[in-house]
Amino acid sequence: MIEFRFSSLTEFLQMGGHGIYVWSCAAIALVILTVLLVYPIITARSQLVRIQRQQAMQQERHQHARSSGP
Amino acid sequence: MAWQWFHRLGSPRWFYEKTSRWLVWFAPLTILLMLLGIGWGLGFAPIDSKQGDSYRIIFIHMPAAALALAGYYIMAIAGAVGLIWKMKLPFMVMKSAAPIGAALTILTLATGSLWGHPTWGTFWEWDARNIFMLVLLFLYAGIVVLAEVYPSRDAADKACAILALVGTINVPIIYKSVDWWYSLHQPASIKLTGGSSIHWSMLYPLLLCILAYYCFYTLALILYTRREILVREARTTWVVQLAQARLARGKGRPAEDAL
Repeated sequence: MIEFRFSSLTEFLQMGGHGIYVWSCAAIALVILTVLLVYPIITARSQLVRIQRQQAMQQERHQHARSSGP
Repeated sequence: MAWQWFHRLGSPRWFYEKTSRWLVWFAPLTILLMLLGIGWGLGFAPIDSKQGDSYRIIFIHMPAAALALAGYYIMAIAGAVGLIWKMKLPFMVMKSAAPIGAALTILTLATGSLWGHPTWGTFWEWDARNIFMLVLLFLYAGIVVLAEVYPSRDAADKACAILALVGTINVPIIYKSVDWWYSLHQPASIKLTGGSSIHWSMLYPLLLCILAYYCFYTLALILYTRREILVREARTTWVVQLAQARLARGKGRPAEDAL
């Protein structure tokens, strides 16, 4: 049967003395898996911003060349 | 045309636009499956008669190991497709798979180590499976480094693909290691043919965790590949337009399309 196997939260955290191992694993998994999702999103965003900036600089240079031309 | 889908698969733009629509529902679904699977395993699966509660690490450890191995095949196959058909996208997928695989291998080694201490009495044992998992980590790390050090992108892609293909030999060795060298690692509990040696009350949450990890891997691979597309296609018109469209939509608001 599917039921909660622990009678209290403390018991759940202690896991019969193995809590430190199980919860360390859960914490490591949480950190690694979160980084695997967040890192590509953040770097993709900064890449889009970089492209915008380069584009804006190019346009400025174009306008500058046109206005200072003969 | 029968081959049209294959060529579309090679188009970074097609991939980017398709996945933009998928991510909206796929990302929440993956996170939900992950929470359900791990939650079921840690709180609701019965206690193991021999290992006590420490066995619950299996719900985090075993699927991570499975995906670290399956991910290597995905990386090697992507590299092979890139080499054979000279397509752009498969190389981007290959390069994206390397850091994900490395991270999952680290997760496998770390959780395995934490499981080993209460169960085997040691954090690390030089048994065959551990050694070859370490080799797998070095292969992944090698490809991550190799992809960065070459001045030419084409040369880097080819070198990575070849290293990935050569390293493939390691994966079946890891799968079979528990049968070839009898050691501390337990033999497989789940078999496709014949009965599994695991009760359904533990098997179902484990299968759910495996499914969740597969979804997670797919999600991470999509996100990394999209990032790689933006880097490699930065000069193409559609990427520039994408960047400008994002700017026009407002700077302050976090853009969903960047997901």
